Amino acid sequence: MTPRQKRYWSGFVGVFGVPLVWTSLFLLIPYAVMLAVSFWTRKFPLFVPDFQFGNFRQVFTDPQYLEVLLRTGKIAALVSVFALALGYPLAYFLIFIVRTAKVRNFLYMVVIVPLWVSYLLRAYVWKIILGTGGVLNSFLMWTGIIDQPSGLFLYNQTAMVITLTYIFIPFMVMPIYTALEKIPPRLIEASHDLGEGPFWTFLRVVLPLSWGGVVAGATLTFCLAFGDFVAPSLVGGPDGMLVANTVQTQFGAALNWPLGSALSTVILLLVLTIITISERSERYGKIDLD
Amino acid sequence: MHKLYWWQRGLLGVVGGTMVYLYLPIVVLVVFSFNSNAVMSLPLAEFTFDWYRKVLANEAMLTALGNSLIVASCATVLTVVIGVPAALVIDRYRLPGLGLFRRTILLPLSLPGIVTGIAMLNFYRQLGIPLGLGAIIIGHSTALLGIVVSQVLTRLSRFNRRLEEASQDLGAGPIETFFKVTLPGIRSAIIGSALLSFTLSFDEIPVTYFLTGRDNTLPMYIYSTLRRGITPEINAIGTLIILASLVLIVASVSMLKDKD
Amino acid sequence: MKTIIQLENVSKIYSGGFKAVDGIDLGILEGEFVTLLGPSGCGKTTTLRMLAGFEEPTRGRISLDGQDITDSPPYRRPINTVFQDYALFPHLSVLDNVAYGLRTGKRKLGQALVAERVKSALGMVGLLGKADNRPGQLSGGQRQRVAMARALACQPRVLLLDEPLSALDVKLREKMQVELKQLHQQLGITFLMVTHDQKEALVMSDRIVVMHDGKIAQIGTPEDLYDRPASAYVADFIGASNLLHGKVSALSDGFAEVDLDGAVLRGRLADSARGLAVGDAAVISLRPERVQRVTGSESKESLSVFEARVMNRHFHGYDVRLDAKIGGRYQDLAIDLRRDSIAMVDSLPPMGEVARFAMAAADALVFAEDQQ
Repeated sequence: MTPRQKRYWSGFVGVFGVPLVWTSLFLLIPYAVMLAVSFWTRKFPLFVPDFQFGNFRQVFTDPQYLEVLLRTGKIAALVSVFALALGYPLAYFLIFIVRTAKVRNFLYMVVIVPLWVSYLLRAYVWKIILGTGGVLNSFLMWTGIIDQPSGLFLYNQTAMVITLTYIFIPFMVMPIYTALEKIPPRLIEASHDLGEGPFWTFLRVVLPLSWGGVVAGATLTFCLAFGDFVAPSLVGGPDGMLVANTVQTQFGAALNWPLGSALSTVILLLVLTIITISERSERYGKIDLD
Repeated sequence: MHKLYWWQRGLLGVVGGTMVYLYLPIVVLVVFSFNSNAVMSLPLAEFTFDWYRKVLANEAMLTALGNSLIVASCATVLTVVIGVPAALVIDRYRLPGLGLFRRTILLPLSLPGIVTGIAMLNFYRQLGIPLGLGAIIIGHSTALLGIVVSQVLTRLSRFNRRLEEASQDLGAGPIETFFKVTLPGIRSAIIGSALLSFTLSFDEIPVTYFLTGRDNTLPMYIYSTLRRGITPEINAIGTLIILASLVLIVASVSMLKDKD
Repeated sequence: MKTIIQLENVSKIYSGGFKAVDGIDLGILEGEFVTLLGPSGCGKTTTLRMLAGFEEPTRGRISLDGQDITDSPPYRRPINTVFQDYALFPHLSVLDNVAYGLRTGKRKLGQALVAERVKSALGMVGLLGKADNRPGQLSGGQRQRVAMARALACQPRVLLLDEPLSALDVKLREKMQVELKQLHQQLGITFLMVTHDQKEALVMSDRIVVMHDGKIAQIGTPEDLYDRPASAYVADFIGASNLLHGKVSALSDGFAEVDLDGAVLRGRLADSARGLAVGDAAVISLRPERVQRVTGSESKESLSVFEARVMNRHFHGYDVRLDAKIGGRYQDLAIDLRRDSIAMVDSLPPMGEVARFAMAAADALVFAEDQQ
């Protein structure tokens, strides 16, 4: 080894040692342990090391678990769609309609700020808005639209979609905003110059160029909603439990860690698959603007 | 003021509606923290500070707050101390495996928190590490490491490497160069991501839920209180948290501004 | 004068197998102003970076004052660099930028000495009044000067300049060329500059190293390179040249006639072309400004007269450039005619017509064809 190579590698070890050890010890090994436990057998009240696929079989054959997985997928997809429907116009408005940079940055901050405000509180507040004795009911009664408090608002899937969309909109706006920001205004001028009106310019220029942001935002929103257990436990009813709540139960009342770990592993693999697909499609549709 | 097209007006409507959707709940939270009625319904009753008084006298809540501050501070320090060198190595060295390492570090950011929480719980159980604040700190710093790494990496990719060469050319060794040239260049990214880590750790539930022992953090305290029933006290705590978050945001924004 | 820097068989091969620098030998004398000149990708910047210590040679040895420095890191070399984009530290004031090298590493000088050296370095480049400014508040020329002051404050054995003036506009660049040259003469420090601008190299250097594909094409004084290029490549790169391809039709004591399928040009044989025989393929290189117009039927003994068809004409101010075609293969020939009177343009041959031109045989150089 030349002295220069020695310097290169000693620098590498010196700087990289701690992060590598930390990441292996507290990130890789825990995931590996979880994977291992998912193959164990439960012998109430204990679990014994084993290697069998019973837990996974249970996840995919027991209608109870399959149903909750499908329901979670449905809710997460709905949340993504609504967050996109509200978030895209918002980002578009900020970039292309707001004219001064100062106002734009301020409004962007305003959209992002809720991210910094406690996630728990943002879920909780919908409980007091939608509850039987809550703000919405009392408002409707006060104004005379209904005369009995309605229990229809809370503890169902609609409440959950509303709450989760509310929580995750900023995650949708951020990547779309970043993608739109990179589109040179001249491209839009060029499209107008070539005779295309606002609508077709949007479809043929703006949307394709911001597609990466849309995919990134939708992926993030879907994955985060898919694994949430706090909002369902606050505003979801009996038919509003998501897969994460089922996992939570396995580590609590049901006391079946192997099954819980198997479910958790399934979530992990599902999310990884989605992320990989979205990265591929993002790269596929990537257009270099420079 | 030029005339708006129909689609621009429609857009304006959607944007206005979304803004209301984003902020009305926060307004509700704040308003009801000052409402004397214990039931949160309209019309409003009298203005009161009672709920704040109750919060400040609530021992369990204050202990939880203290725990949260300890956890968030320690986790933030750890994420920076581990994350900055990790980002430096990923940026500087071209080695097979580093891409995988980067993806691993960023993984918990896109994974649902519950997966990380359960992985950690299994790991601690197997090693016999007791649950509690220490376990939570390790969990948070691992889960949030990706924030510091991604922010610092972004900044490093824009950093002019010639400056480091200039520093070495003028006689400064690698370590001196890092502290005199590289660090000032990425400082605002470090501060910004540290503040974000702090906030997210302070607010974290999914990982904390599985790792907490006897000591509660503030979100865990609120969460368990909520399951017993809702009280305007929570609104008062919430309003205080929002206030504190706002202070943090303003601080971080102004700090990031003066650099760029 | 003694050799200060010696490169022996230095190569830099990148991981893909690309040879950026291919076995060069070069000695630089103390106090010289040497320029590495070549188009982008010729290896000149890589050579400079190996001297500064940022790149490690794959093979070969670099020594400074007789000591091997091949393996020593940049911060242990008494060599300083003026970077192409200046690389001024944006977070430090001009003063702290210049003082950087004086407060660092092994060279930690006392406060008073630092102040004195910074003051003299800034005084040298005329920027004493800007000491407290940030680099962002300076103009391009001022930044360039700060970069100079910062490197010179360390009192290096050798100053490396990486395209130091390329970011400046034409007028400022010409002014800075003169300033840099004066600075070099005052200080007596060895300067090694990299540039792709042959004019800049000709104006400033004591010696020029022309590089081509990682190898040294020629080393010499500006006059050497301009008047006695070793190859058609150098002839073309230093000042514009017409390179016309043909066959040797006659040889006589150091001169050759090259037949371009119709037109015959006479030129001096380059040193490398001594072995040419009649009938060999050859290249004759002819500078546009060496060609004269021949009017009427006059013919001079010392001149070689030929015909070419004028295709186009461009006004350059001092000169008029004619685009012409010569010989049976219609090779491009650029001709610069001095515009010595305003009426001169009126007497130029009309476009599309064949006209007669001439040049001195001593001004054209003949190379063997395969040398390119």
